[in-house]
Amino acid sequence: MDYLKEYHLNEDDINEIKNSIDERDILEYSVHEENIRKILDYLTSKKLNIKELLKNKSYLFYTDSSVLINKFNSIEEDKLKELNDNIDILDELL
Amino acid sequence: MSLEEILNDRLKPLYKKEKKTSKILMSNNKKLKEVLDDIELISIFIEEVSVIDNIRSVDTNVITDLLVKYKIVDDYSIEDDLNSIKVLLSGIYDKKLKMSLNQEQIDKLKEYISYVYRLLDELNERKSRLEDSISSIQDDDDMYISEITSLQELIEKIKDKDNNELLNQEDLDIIKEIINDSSVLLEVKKELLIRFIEYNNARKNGETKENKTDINEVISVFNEFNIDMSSVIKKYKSEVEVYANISNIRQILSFMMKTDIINKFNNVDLLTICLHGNYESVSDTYDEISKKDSSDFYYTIPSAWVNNLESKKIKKKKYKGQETKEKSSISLKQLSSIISREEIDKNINYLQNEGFVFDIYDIGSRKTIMTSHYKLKENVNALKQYGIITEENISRFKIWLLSENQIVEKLDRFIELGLLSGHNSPVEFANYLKRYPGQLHNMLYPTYMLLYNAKQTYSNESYYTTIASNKKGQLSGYLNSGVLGDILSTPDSILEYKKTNFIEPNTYIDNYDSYEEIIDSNYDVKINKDIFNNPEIQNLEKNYSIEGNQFVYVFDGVVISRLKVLRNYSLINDGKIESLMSSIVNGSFLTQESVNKIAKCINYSLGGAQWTI
Repeated sequence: MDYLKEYHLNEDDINEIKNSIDERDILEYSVHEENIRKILDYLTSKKLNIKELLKNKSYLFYTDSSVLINKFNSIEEDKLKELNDNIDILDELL
Repeated sequence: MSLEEILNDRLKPLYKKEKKTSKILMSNNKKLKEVLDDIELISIFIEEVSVIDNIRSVDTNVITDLLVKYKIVDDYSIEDDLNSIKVLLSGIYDKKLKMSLNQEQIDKLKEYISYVYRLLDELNERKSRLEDSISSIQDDDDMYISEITSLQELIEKIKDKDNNELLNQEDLDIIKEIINDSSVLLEVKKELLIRFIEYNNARKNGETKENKTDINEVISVFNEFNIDMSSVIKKYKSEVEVYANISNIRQILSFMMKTDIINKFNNVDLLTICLHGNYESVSDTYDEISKKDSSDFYYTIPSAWVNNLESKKIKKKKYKGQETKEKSSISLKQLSSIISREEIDKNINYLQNEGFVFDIYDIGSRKTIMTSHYKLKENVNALKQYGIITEENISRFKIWLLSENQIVEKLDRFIELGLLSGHNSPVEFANYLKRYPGQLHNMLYPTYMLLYNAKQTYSNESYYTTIASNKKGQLSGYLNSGVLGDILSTPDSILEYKKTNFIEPNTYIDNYDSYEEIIDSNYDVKINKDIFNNPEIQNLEKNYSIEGNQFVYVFDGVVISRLKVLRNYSLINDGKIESLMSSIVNGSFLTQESVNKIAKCINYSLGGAQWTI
């Protein structure tokens, strides 16, 4: 998962992420780098907290990036901005 | 042929046989369930009409449907006769009309009941036949699974360049299975024995294993099909060297090219399939999914294209906190064995049959569909049992939550924290979790500890005031997955908080660790009804259950999940007071004071066994 460092996550952040997710998530994040990168590129463009999302919403990253991007694009900007304050509202928005 | 090739040739048809028996088992189990459901309907009906006149107010349509279904009667004419009799009985008993049934009508009633009893006999016979058939087929399936697993392990041992142990008696037993199989050609048997002896001689002589494939050759094969696999192959170089078989890869890619599916996979998944699958596994999956509308979904899961058994029931691990994960190396082998195509199908069918409405391509679906089937079922059963999933909401329920780990423990905690089926909870929090089921995922382990501590430290009113946010019926943001502060952000601080505020069961219950192991090894949410005959459980039911709330026991103010206690005790049930105490406290974060209260209620002497009820 070293590629996550390109998204301004350091070693401690990556360890924190690994400790928050299960082994299946670690495998998904490791092997499907291409899809995860596309998702992360999009999420960072929307200025969302990718560390929190990687830690706590791993189910997002199993999705094809185009499906995820389409879904997020349908969410109002105001609501997206709220996400960084309270990531749990994502469950209601999706 | 090499030893590995001979064993692989043995493995391939075994997978086919196992899939076939597995399919038959599934079909028979479905039929058995239908028969059992029908038996139950009939049994209820028989009980209802034990006083025959009661038939006037019983819905006989359902029963007549069954009589027709199982060809006990030819048509519904009997229902017409019955309806007029029922109207007459209604008049006699409900409207007090001075009339009575004539002999013909009495005979018709008796005839109907006799048909029902005949049906019951027929169903019991079917049940018996199905059970026997299932048992026998299960034995075959278990045998195939056992041989497949043994062969896989042996092949891995042979492939592993770092494993230079001699093949032992256990390995020889696997070889013997093949030798004793009359369907295997004599030449193959001879070859097998020779290779076995050669293998062991080579290990004795200290020879290294020369089974590395040149990765440049592998890259070239992919190039033949216009696929640039060089960077992925270099990334997984050591795995490619061990697992790549050039002719196997070429066969798979040729098939994929011929069927025009080669570009449907990303490179990592394609390499995974080429290393760990074979022509048969790929073509089988292609044939099966071509019949489905949702075939594109399967191209996103490489293990669906590799021979895999259904996930085994593994010992569940209780999450004890923020443990540092051991660094296990990521491999495409892991990716190739996540879930079989058959299990994916099982999951999709199961979820649809249960009433969930979902798009398999939507966010969250893929992770859930890739969850092992028994874990998926247990999660659904638990969520239903605790009232989170209902008939009313199932079609709207977000399936991403169904892949969650340790759901049952978390449900128990929400009950004990007064946030689900809350005892003495304010209305806005009593069923907080039903409004926000996502908190089963979002609530972090340390947050549970904070809440347990607050619940046992403050008064009931202060507890809810403390944890509430400004928005009515929501928890404070401090407690959500966001900020926990310095208190509980590191493994050490979490451990310290736990030690300072709570008491560990193994300090006051003899043999707690062994009870915990029994509890932890079980995935089931079933409660054994026999335990309600136990005096210790009867005592709990009589003195500590709460009328109108089936989810809690309250021990001098300490709320404990009732279903947790019953479930745990169903597993242990050795009649000892320690096992009862273990069943109660397992999974909870309890202060000394709370433990004292519980112990006093059930007459448990802390640190030793004093049995009195």
